Amino acid sequence: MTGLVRKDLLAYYRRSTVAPFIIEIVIGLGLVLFLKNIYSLVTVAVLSMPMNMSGSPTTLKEIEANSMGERYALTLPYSWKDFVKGRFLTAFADGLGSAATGLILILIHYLTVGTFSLPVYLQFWAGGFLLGCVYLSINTAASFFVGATVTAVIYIVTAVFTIAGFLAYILLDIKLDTLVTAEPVFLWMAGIITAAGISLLCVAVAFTAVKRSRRR
Amino acid sequence: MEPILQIKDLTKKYKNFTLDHVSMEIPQGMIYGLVGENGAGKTTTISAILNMVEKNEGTITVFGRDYEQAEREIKQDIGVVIDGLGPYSGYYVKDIHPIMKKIYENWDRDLFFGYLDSFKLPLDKKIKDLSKGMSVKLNFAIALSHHPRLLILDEATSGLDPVMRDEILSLLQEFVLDGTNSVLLSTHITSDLDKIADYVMLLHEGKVMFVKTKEELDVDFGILHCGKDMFNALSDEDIVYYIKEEFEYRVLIQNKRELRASIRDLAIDRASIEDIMLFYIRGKKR
Repeated sequence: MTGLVRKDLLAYYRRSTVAPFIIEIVIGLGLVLFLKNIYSLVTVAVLSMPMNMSGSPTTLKEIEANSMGERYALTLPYSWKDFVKGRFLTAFADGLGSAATGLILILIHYLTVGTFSLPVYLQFWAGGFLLGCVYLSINTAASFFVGATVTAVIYIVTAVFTIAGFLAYILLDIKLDTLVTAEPVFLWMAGIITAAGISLLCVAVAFTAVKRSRRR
Repeated sequence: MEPILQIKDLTKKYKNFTLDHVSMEIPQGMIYGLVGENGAGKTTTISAILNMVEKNEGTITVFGRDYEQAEREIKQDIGVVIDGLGPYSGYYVKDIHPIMKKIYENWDRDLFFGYLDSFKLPLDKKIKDLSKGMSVKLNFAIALSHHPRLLILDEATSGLDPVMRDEILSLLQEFVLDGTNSVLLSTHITSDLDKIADYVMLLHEGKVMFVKTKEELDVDFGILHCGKDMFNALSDEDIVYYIKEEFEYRVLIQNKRELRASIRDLAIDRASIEDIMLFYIRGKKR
């Protein structure tokens, strides 16, 4: 399946420009270097990283819609299930880039501000990573059901949802840091199981969508 | 010799169209033409052969195996060129090799670059900047560079100028020359099939109208232009279909040789695949 992932990743990078990546770095650096408080850490870990991680399904759907990419992929030596799995892997592989960028920014925050210990910082990153995995799974599954425009709308909805959560965190003065510093193992276990469950459900939903479209 | 592709009673039902119990067998070393008007079921047949759609009934065996057993292995040996389908247009031509070498086990780098060279395809151009003819050539280069045993082409030569089409047809003849490779060529440019097909299947409204060898079509079929008296004198067995024009009958006849022998000075024209197709679709039975 590496061939399918390479095909999709290269298409994604050929379609993308370097500008959003530079903006992601500049804004992230600006936040951690100049806004030296917990809000900049939360912004990077829970807001910007998950959103950046989950952007590729929208672009891949747009590429596919413009080039009949799904039909072409089905002529290649893979099954339709490989095609679905490959798309999830591509989204995940691209998401890893943003997750790595997020990790670097969080480490910079740790080195320059150092509000918490390193394990706490890493838990912030892990929380954002899980959220990013959930978002990219939802966006990828949606891309098998709907067209390019609706996929983009769904991405925007997840962004709005995240921003609303972020605002609630600020306005209601939710103590996210105490939640993390308490280091409750069960909370992480629950988080990982929930994220894995949602991701697997999204893969199953995508299978159903493609199976249905093969019947039509 | 085992046929390359065997289809039995393939049925695919859509809301407004049914591909109805299509059967075909493509022997090794043959070029098999699939003709029919738009919406006849050619693309549906090809989609089912490539397992792109789920069939309702029937069996499809490629290289003696079915897709449930070995979809990936089967498709490794199939080259596909479908009009309007191809790699993402934002790729550079040079991107194709690193992608395809991961996709096809038998990807042949030298063969691919050899085709690019002979087709004069520039490596540093994006696919979207290639002309229609160049994109088709690139698709053929991709389809042939992993040493397929079966080439499936759906309207692959449409939009090409006659010179380029002729080049592609020569390539196909070369491909089947070793006697083990085969081509399934779906097209509405029937003149291509007149030149290179060994077998022809005519599909109409999802049904198989006939499957014949090109030789049978050439030897048996002919077109007779005649008046009412001659038309009435013909036996029902000789007439396949007829079209009544204002001043004459145009008759698609079979048993051309026997008819010529029994009725002297009979002017029977050669029937091209296009003529035969038109008679089958627009003609009447007596």
